[in-house]
Amino acid sequence: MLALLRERERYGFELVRTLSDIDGMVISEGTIYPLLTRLRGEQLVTTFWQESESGPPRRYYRVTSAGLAALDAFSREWAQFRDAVDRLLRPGEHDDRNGR
Amino acid sequence: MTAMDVDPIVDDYLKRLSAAAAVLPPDRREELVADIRGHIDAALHEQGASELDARNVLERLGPPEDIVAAADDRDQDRPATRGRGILEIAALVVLAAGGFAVPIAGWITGVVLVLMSQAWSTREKQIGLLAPFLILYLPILALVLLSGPGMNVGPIEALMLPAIVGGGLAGLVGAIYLALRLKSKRV
Repeated sequence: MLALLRERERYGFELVRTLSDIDGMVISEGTIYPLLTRLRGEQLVTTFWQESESGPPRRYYRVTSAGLAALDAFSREWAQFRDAVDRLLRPGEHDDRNGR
Repeated sequence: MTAMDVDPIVDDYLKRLSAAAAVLPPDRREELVADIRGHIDAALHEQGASELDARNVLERLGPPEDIVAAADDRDQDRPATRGRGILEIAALVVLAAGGFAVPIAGWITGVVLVLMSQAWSTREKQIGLLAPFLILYLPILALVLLSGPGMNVGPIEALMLPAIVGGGLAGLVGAIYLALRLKSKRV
């Protein structure tokens, strides 16, 4: 979510749909809103209202500097985790090929 | 946009959401309903507002109850913020012994004290108060009523005896259960 907001600010529906399209695991899109509220509570995102050219005003979400820092920390941890899993999996693949 | 307000499907969904969200603090509830309403507004505005579109949008949002469950973090807060207080100890003592000390009234006092406390969930209260009562009181009542003629007791005694014995035992058993639940929360 924070990564999506790093590109640019997005409004709720847009953010939820983008996330839902990327991640096939989102079963109930509605549950993303409580998550956004929590991120706002932790001051990782801020919100503001903006009129749209057509239709109702939209609530936009923007990542804060604290949010960017959290994203950065997570990216580093994730990379470490991914590398560790890759190291575990690669010898396995190798053995598998030799075995055949 | 006004179309959605008259759309009974959307209206019904938002009503369900609002009702389910009654467990949330008022400001959280208001915000959640506004967020979801905004989502539906935007979706219908961008994708078309036929009945099929509306159904699709609501389907993707998921059941209102699931959304509220995701917003409800009180369960995680409870063990940290609520502990064992004077009310809980009094409730357990009165519930355990009250039924023996003052038949029926003592037990009822214990029940009321437990219900006043917020240390137990509704489910725990149901189990702790209702289950022993049903398991202990009703069988003893049935036993007394069935063997009533042989035991030579009048109708009032037939009702009082199980209330005294069953109510007392039910309170004791319930109090033990609730005390164990309270203990497990502290760990």
